[in-house]
Amino acid sequence: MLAIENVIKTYHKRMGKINAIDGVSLDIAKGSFVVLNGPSGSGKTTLLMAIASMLHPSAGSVTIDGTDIYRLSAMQRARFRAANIGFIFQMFHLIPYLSIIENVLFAAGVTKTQNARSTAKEIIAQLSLTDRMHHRPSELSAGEKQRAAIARAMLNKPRLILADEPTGNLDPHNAEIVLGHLSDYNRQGGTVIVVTHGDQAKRYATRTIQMENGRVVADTAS
Amino acid sequence: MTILKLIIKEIAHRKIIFVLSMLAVVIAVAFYVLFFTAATAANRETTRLMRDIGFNIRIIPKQTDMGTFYLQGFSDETMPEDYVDVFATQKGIGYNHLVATLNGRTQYSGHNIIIRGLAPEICPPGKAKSPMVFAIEKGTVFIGHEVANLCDINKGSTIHIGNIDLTVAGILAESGSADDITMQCHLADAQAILNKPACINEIKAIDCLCFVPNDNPLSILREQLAELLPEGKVVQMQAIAKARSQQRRLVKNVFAMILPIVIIVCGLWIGILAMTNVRQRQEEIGLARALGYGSPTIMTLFFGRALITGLIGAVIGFAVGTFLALQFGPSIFTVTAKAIQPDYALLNISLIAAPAFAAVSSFIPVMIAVSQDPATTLRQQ
Repeated sequence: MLAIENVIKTYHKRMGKINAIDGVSLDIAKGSFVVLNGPSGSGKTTLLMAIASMLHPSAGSVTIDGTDIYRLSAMQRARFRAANIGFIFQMFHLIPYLSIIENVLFAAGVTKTQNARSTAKEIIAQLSLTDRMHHRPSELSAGEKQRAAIARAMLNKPRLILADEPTGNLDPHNAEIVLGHLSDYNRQGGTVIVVTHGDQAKRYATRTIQMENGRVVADTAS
Repeated sequence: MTILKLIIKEIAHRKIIFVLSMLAVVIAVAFYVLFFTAATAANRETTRLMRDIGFNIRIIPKQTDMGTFYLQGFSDETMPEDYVDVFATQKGIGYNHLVATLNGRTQYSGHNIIIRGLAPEICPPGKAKSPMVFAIEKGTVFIGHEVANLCDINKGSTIHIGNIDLTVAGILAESGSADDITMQCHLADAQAILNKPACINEIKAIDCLCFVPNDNPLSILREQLAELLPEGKVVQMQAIAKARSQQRRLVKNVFAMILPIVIIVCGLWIGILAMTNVRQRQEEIGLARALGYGSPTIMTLFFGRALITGLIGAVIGFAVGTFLALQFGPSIFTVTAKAIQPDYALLNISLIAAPAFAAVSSFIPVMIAVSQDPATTLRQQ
């Protein structure tokens, strides 16, 4: 489903070139729950952004379901991203002036998803947020915000969900709930890649990839 | 959710920045409306005041002895009465008011007086103007203050002068000038009294010649009139012409100096606030990018906001500027106070210019927003 071939991402800093990703090659099968693990600065978030089609690699290619995403124009890539990839961030990134349902529906702005509102309500219900649907993000707890972000990520029924430290701001209980929802999505056939430097997500993983200094140092199937 | 709804919700969420941005537009538009309304009023006022002071030029007989002319205030020579019609019907020389006069010395009841005959005032075809001199009907006369006192003449009485009878239409207020010993009557009556039929000795013209720096319009006019009126010559009342054009230019200069400063300051103000707005919305922009929204949508979000700011600012600014002009204008421009009215053409201009102004002021911040790298933004947040 996802093929990463010899991806390099180089940053030119004052002290010289730094390879944030240094020749990473991976094949990730459909329906995987992959945990990208590693210390800060190991390149896992950079790799996630490259997979997300938001960070053009200095070399190599990223192919999703046969589409080399960096051969697409910026506009085509944006549409591809909207239709195929869902995002979950550590800081939730909910729009503060929109209600929860409006935040979820924001994801349908590009894809023009059919019956978006009813689908959004269903997902919100699955994530136990129905009574918070018309609240603003500032009125929600951290766990509720992350569940809202998951709902937004799921609205367009993407093939791939990319989660960058989704439990980084949550207590263990809420972290379990969030990972549980991602696991449910995975069980329904979706592919999930979670970047984390903790161990909690590993219990749900079908594969754990360890990164250090921009390289894959371990790749373990669970 | 539509883009418009998003913009409105964002505006409602960040009210202070919106109100401050709109305030900048309001100030710029209010200044613009106030200045234009004031400039129009000032121009009107200047015209009226200068018109009341006197004429721009005087056309007198060519043979006039200038020493005598300046000493007594009029020429002893004459020129044909139809010169005024020749002047009025020529093409190529502009004017707003023309009056043919005949002035002469005579005696009344043993006193030296001046007779001044005034022909009906001529205005350019299709440009009716309020008269600069009072209209005098044939057979009537206006008596100068001093003559009326010396000869005990009252309004409504009849005087006999130069073999004709004239009814006194009014006694003029004391002026402290030669007008106090002047009897002003219809040109035909003056011609009869002074025994100079079909003659005049002066054509007074206003707005015939405007003072233009680095040019010599008087010589141009003289050349043109030399052909038209071979027995006439032109004397410019330069001080009046200068005062008139200087006052007009003063208003324009003040306007030209202050308005750009206001617009630049307000433009920077809007730009800084737009930049603040972009910084506040970095996360939102990054998210929109991540969710597949393209640059046109991001630009629409910010320019749409600027357009709404401009439209609302234009309406409020017009109202404020007009209110200030109506409130303070009449006390400054007392002569033309009643003529100061809301100029709705300025509202139309403001409704187009203010949104464009707000959008241009927001241009750099919007371009920064569009060029933000979502990966960097989302990682930094």
